Amino acid sequence: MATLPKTLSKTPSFSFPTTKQWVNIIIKGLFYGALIGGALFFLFPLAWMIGTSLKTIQEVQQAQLNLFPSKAQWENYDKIFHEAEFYRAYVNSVFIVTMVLLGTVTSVSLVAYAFSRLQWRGRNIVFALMMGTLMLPYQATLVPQYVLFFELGWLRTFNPVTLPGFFAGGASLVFLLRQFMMTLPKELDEAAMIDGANPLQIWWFITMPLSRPAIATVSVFLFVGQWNNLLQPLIYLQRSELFTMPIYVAQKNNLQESPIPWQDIMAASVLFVIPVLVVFLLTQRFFTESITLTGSKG
Amino acid sequence: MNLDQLGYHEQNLIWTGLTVLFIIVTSTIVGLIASFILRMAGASEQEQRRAFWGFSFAGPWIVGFLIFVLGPAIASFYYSFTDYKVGQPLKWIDIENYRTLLLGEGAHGRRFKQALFNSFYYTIIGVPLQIMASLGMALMLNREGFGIRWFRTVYYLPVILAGSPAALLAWRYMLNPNGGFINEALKRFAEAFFVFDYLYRGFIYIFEGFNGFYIGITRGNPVGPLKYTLPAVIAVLVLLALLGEWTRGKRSLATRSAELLSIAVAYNMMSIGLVSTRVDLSWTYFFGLLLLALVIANGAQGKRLLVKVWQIGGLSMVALSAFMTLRRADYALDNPDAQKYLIALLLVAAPIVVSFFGVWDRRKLQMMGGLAVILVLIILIRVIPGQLDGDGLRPIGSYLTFGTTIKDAKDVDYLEDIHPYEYLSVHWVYGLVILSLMGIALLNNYPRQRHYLLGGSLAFFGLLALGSFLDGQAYFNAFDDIAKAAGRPNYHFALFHQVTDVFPDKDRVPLWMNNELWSKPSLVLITMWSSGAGMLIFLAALKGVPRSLYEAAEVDGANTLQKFFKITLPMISPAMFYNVVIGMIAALQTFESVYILRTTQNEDSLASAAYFLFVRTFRQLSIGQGAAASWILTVIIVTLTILQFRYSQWVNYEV
Amino acid sequence: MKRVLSLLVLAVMAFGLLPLGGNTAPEPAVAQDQDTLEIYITGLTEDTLNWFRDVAFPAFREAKGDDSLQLEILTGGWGDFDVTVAGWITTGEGPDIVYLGSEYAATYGDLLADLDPYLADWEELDQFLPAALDTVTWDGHLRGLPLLMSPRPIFYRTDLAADPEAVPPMTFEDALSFVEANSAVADGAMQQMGFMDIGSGLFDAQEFIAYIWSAGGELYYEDGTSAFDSEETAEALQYMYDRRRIMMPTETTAGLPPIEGYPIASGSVVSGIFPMWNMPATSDPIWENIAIAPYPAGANGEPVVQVFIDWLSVPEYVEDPSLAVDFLKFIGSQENAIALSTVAGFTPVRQDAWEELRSNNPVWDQLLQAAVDYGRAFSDIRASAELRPLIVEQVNLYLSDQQSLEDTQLFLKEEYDAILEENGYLD
Repeated sequence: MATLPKTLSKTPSFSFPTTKQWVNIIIKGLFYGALIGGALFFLFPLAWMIGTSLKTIQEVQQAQLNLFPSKAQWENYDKIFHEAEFYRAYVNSVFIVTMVLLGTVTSVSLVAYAFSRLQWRGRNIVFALMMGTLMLPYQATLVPQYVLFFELGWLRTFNPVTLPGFFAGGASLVFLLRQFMMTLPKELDEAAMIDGANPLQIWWFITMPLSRPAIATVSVFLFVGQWNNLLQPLIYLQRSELFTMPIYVAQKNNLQESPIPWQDIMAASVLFVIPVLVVFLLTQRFFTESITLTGSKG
Repeated sequence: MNLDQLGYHEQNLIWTGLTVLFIIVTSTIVGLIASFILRMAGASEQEQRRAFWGFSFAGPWIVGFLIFVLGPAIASFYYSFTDYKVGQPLKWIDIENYRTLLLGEGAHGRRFKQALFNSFYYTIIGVPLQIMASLGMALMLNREGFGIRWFRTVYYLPVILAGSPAALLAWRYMLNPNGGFINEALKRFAEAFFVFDYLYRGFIYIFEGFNGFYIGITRGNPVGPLKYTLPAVIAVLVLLALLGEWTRGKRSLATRSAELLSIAVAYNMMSIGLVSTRVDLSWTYFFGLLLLALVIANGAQGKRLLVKVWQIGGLSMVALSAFMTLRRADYALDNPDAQKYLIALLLVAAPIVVSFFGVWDRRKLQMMGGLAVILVLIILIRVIPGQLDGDGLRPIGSYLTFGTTIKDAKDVDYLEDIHPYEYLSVHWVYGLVILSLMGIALLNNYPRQRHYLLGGSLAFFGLLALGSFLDGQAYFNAFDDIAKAAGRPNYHFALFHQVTDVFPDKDRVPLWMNNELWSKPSLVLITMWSSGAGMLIFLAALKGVPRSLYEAAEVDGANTLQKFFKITLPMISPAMFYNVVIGMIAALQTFESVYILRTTQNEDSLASAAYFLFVRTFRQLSIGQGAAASWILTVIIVTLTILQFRYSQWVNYEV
Repeated sequence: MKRVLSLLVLAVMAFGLLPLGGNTAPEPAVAQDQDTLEIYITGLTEDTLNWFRDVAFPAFREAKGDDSLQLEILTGGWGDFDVTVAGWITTGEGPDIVYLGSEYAATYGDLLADLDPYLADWEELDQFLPAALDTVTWDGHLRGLPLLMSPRPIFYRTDLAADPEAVPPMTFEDALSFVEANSAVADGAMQQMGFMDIGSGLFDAQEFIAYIWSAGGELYYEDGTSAFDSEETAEALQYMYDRRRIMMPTETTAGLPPIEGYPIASGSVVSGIFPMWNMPATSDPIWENIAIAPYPAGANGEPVVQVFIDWLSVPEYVEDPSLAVDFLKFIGSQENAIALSTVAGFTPVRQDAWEELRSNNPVWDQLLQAAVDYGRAFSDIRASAELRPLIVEQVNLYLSDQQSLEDTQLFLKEEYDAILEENGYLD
């Protein structure tokens, strides 16, 4: 790792750079070149997705290198906007994400509050148990959960996808929120307690407002995770009226079709990706800071 | 009110309301129960109130845990011992599912084994590449400067898209071998620069050769003497790293490597021992020895709780084994095999029962050590003669003198018999590696003896590696010769031979998803795209490295490379280990990408353990076997996680 | 902080509102009362769906004289067909009528209602192709009614063939010489394929089964065990292997350059098996140069045309199948079969619905004739969900020189027997 001086030169700015400074400039140039190369690699599939979504079916089948077509085919999007399935899937996805977000954030903050702000006997044991479930892979419980929801008659409803969230689903989220709540000053709670507030009031009026940054982080993680979630909806929804966007997009990829209409698939993909992208770009700070927030670095 | 009259969303809203009500009520009940129990226990008023609030607040999770985790986990554990198949009556079949899966019997067992091998490929090829990429990215971005924040965002961006069908489909389209973007771009490059063309074809040649070889191993083609080469090479690599000035870091490297190897070997032996029809008693003793060692080690360190855990856990394992043995159809009390097995179990259980009594003082430690030695002796008496009688350890002697073990190179059956795939003698080589590493670590305070042992081991394993490799070549050639003489294709490592016999033609392209040689690398490429997650962890770790260390090193005149290897790398080793383990777990759990990218042709070569589970339960509705697979997966993941916790405290004393 | 949060909320709301701008799909009302009929059919075009909703359903209501009768179509994709249908049928909760592919009678067997009491004395049953009725029969009882069929013959390009007289080859031997004469390999890549199979690859599981039949063999012995160790299986495997080696001398031979449009029209494919949706429209002049022929036969066998029958079943969990059966009869009537063939392009299974199709369209005439002469339904495939991956795996190993013929047959037999046993077919 090359160490770069903070300022290139102490001499007056109009003087010609010395050899050493030239070397530094070149190193810096190479460094940014590598960075831009990496950025291209990471952005390319996205660009390819957008480019393809604007091509014709003939262009899509050819062997070609053009990122963007000579003429943008907005009809591809128009076609999707005319599909009833698309709107249905969109509404369903938004609905599911909203319900999961509401339920999970509320319940997770309650539980995190119990683990961080309240002193009670057995707290450490319950907390250890919760952290232990992180080790249990979801596959271990997937099958009997399916049987459970079947017994409840909840297959082909939204319930198996949205309701588990209300039970503080996701120990890692509880952990993240707990770590944040631990950093809040104790005195606030004590003062409120003296004023006669009960824990429920303290939770709602003091802890929750102060925890907003952490709650925002949790919400953003949840949003992205739920929007992309394929497995649970695939297993439980089972009925086209209930399908979510990931299933809709996955079904566009119908292998039986020939020639494969890649431009349609990619147009649907672009529409699917946009919300996640927007949310990510608005809140990318939370992602990059989440590590420092939890202090979990292995 | 009739629920059915409403739309799906409204129905869900009503159920949500009911659920919230249910959670409030049950959480309060949990709180009440907790405070009631405390009152019974005579706790103070305040403590009762605290418990009420605490348990009520934690209630949603506790109730959810009981309903969605504990209950289902117990149910799935039960299912895993049955042949539960939806629509058919359920029957208890003991450990049949586990045996099928762990021994790779039949079509499903083989597929499970293949899925584990695929996950292993993602681990040994994918994870290191991913780690290198994310470390490189973190090093580049660990600074302030123009646009760095923006680059961090862009580099992280793929992580949020990686699991979504949209991005995977885009990749699938780009990887289309016939006219897809990536192959077209490669072709144009190859046309434009002939040097690139040769490099690229050389890369295809080597890569296909490697993958062909890996697929051969996956299929269970015998590798012959090469199976001794792997442990020998591992030993040589670790021993080489131990050369030079002796530090605490090197000592811990030796012990950790020995530990990891022991765990791997123990798991392999136990999984075979537990499920084979006739349990080999050596494994039972081995298991007992392991248990006793754990009890003694924890006892010596005064960790009372862990001692109890191993004592009680071990004894219940022994009891369970006895129970299962007697349940087995071909085992009855008057069966001599069963009697021997029960005696073995008693011998294993006895020292653990003894360990319950007395305090852990010097005398007790000595006594327990004596009991352990007895177990070691039993194992040696049982096993070594058997090994020497057969062809077990004998080849090792001939490898040291570069001799060959192949006496009849004309007979396929002979060749397959002499080195079958699951030949346990290889465990002894692993054992030797473990022993020598442990020995070196134990000789901490005896530099001269340590040097002798190190040098001797290095020479031994070096010769073993070279000798077995040469014999391995002879072994492979023998198969080739036989096939040529018979005028038929060589079925032994067939793909490997097919792709390495000729150098790729001019227009050869990687076939990506359409071919088993390339399907796994394609998935690795796609996972590399989302290395940003690991990058964040590394960035956080890099921030934690104190500046003063670098400054001190600069004073000593260290260059950039030295600083990286002597300071940065050791300091971020916990983050490194964390990323490795997370990567391995992710490799086992890969689902979305396989689901989206599979075709009939590549399904088997792409499937991960999680995908196998999905197919087995939700496609073929074989819930019993699916549950067994999920528990095997769970054991692997839990082991990895525990290792991660243990090794994250691997502080490097070197700096 | 606040700003970002409110932006986030705004963004989510905006995407939530987006759908309101479009033609929001009507919220379906779910009802499981007795006077509701839920029908699951997959792979329908928008036009066909509309035909069901606007034409067929009102007509059925009228026929039943019940205006309050609720009829509803559930659709889904092919990708998750297995999971969805298996979920319903095995858990016992789902639509009243379920659409199934050709091989599923053996998969679900007794989980489908026995329709003999309702259909046995229906005189129109004679009009259905016998092979199609076999397809929907399990354990000697009718489990549903065939809806459409797709015969899958081999198509030959007579104008491209080196020797037009040799078209169509009717034995394995002739087929091999045909492929030999019409394939070209240069520079380590295929230039012309004498034969292309359905997956645009070189082998397909269904095709393998068809060759076992045309070699004179069967999939099962009398006692229900697998017959993969038979002479005929060996013959079929050997034929497929020889054909592959002609087209690709080594396994590293590259495939054809990218094909635009339909493979059969590309000029580099001389013959092949394609479903009709991967063939040019029957009005295309190229059909003058396309011959339709059955799969070649082995030494002791007869040529075969594989016929896939898609059918409608009534699951066992439906308490009173009579309404569902009435709908099956209604949709299977001559009039509606003809209507569906024009609206949806379904090939009717009723022979009395063929006349118009055959007189108007010479391609369909040939196709249906081939189905009548050589047709064998793709049915009675037991535990198909597990057999298919087994065949793909094992036959691929043999064809790509990774396993011997004997081992391939041995593994196929052993493991298929285990699967049959596990699924309760060998009791």
